[in-house]
Amino acid sequence: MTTTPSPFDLSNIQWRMPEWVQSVGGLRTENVLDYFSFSPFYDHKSNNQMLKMQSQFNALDLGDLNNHLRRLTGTQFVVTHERPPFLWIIQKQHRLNEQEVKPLSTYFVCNENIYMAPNAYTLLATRMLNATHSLQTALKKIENIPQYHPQEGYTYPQKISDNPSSQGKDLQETNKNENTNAENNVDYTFSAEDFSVVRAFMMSLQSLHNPAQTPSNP
Amino acid sequence: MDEHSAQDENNKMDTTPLPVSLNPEVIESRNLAPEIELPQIFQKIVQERGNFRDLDETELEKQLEEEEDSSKAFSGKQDPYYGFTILPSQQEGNDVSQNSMNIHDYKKELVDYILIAQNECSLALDMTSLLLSKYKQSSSDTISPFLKSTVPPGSLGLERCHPPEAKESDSILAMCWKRKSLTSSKNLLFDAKERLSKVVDSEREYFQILSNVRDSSWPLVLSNKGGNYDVSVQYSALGGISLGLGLVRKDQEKQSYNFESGLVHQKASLRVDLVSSTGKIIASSKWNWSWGIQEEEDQLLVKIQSAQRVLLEMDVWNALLQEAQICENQGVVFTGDTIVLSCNPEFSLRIFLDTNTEESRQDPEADFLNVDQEEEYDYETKKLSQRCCDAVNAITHILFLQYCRNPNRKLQQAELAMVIDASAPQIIRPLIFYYAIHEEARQFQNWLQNEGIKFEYLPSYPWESAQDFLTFENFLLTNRLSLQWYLDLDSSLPAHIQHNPTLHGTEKTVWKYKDAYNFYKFSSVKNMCQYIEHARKQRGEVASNAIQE
Repeated sequence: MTTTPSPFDLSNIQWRMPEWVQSVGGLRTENVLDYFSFSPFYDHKSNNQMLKMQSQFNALDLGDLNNHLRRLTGTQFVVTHERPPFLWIIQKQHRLNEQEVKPLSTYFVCNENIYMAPNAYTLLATRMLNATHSLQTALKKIENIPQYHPQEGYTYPQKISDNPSSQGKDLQETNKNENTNAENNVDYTFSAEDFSVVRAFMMSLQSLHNPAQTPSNP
Repeated sequence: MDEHSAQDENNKMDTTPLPVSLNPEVIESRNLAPEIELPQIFQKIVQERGNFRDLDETELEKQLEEEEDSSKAFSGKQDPYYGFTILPSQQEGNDVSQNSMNIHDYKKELVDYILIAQNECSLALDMTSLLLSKYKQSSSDTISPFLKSTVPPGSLGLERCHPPEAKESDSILAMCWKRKSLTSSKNLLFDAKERLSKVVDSEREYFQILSNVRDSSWPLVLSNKGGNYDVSVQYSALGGISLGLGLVRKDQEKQSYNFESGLVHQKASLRVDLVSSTGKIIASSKWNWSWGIQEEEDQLLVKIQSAQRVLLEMDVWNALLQEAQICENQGVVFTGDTIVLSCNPEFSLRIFLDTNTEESRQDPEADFLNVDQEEEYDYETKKLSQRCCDAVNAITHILFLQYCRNPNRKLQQAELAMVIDASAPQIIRPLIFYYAIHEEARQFQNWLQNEGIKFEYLPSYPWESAQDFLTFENFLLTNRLSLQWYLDLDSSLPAHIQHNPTLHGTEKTVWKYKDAYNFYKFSSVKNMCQYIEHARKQRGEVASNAIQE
């Protein structure tokens, strides 16, 4: 493969050149490859570059370009999909002969931005890796908290959070809000039994209300 | 009118150069609408300064002062780096919160991580579903609702391309990851082994102690409490009414084993006080178990034993209370914590459960410490009354044992008819019964002595013939007594009186008077005394008549 060794990963960058787009008065299918040629995705050893050099003086339209490219072998950039004025998909391909072509990678121009189309495997694998990693982190965080005892089973020891009074005064001031929040949290942790009477009372109220409502409904 | 005044105020406000509002419209509208919604104001205040719940005036004043101070000090802090100085302290604050995390914080964090993972997965699912929806209708079902509403199905395409270059770092990373996780699993296993072997050691210690307990013949009970099996010691094994189960638990701080009995009292013993009519304690007896305690024994066994004792004493007390409820006709007054037997106007017996944790000394003199020092009783009387209290206490316990021995005992049919509550223990009633007999006998004796009648009193108490302790117990409960009196009325006319008091029944006491001519039954001593008087008078008349003739 004769691709230029990329100095940095091109798969996760976005490239744009709004001033060029403004100077040509918007992107069109005719000039999108020119726009692409300024980007780091472009390969200067490609057939496109060669044709560009050759046809520097006699203007070449797009149909001619594709015809010329078909006769050449090597790395080429072609527009495979177009939906002006926002989206073009450009494929980098290796042409073996006039019929056969080997696709290398895909780029898309969307709203003047050029992205490299993601590799499905890489993308999905990365997502899975992220998910696995966060699960692993979560497990690692809590794996040491429950304590096992044969008589009591697994228990979660409640650490008594020591007041940060020993930490210093200005710290206390900055932490004031956090602390009050934490204290409130502690206050709100009622056990289920605390409300059992109340809940029973509410249930009885509901059962009182329901028969009163049902006759009015029909 | 209101609007005008508000606008006027606004104008006034505008004349002052500071504070300049960045958004004058908002302020105007607020002024124009003074009835801003109350819930919003509350929300805002709560957001700014927490709940109203722990708010008090002093705190507010303090805060006001602080604000004034800070506003004074603020001018000095107005350097461009002021904002940056907060940053490190914030970071510290985060550290602090990490150090003192409690379970709920951990839970929150766990939920956060799981949410991240879920988000990642659902993003991947969205992408693939969108991709596949081009080719298959049903695959668009798994697109998230928002994406479905904004993006048409089939809007993602795919194309073949060259596989991405394999990076060298990937393989290194994979290898290192695997090595790291293998190492960490090794460490985890080792740590778990360390921890669990410690746990097993402590468990071995625990079960060693339990087997000690079992070897000293305490029954162990397996109880299932919410899926957890607990081995508890039945410390009420030797008797009593209630079942006492206690757990052996490890005290983490002292590294020793505790016995949790669930009893309210650490120590309890029945105390019987002899109280004079003026409310002074003449004598008192605190029941002291002298059996079974060997100090050199295992500390835990001592604890179990003391729990057993406390439970038994509480049972005795409860039985007494239960009986006291049906004995009100016999002069028993009780509150929740004392029972007063007042058979005699001079004295009354006060029985209560002494839960004083102070260790009373073993010597009998210690009980005298509880007694009010009184001059009017000499040492002998005190000693005697002390013995009385001791006896009452002892008999209470003996009768309680008798009650425990057959808790669902079947009364005889005749007995059953006379008893109000058949299941109630019989502890107070026999005591009162014997005391009442004694009083009656003493009354009669006094009368006889006053009258100058010679008599012979032959009581035969059932327990006198008891061979062993068990029969003694049973004899204490005998329903019928037979007491014999032989009177020598004037001129060698003997009279035989049989006294048959019963514990239950309408005929509490029956005096059967019998002499050469007559046989009568009397229901009380008084009646009989009157009759004897009458008979003597008659006899005297007969005798005088005989002399006249």
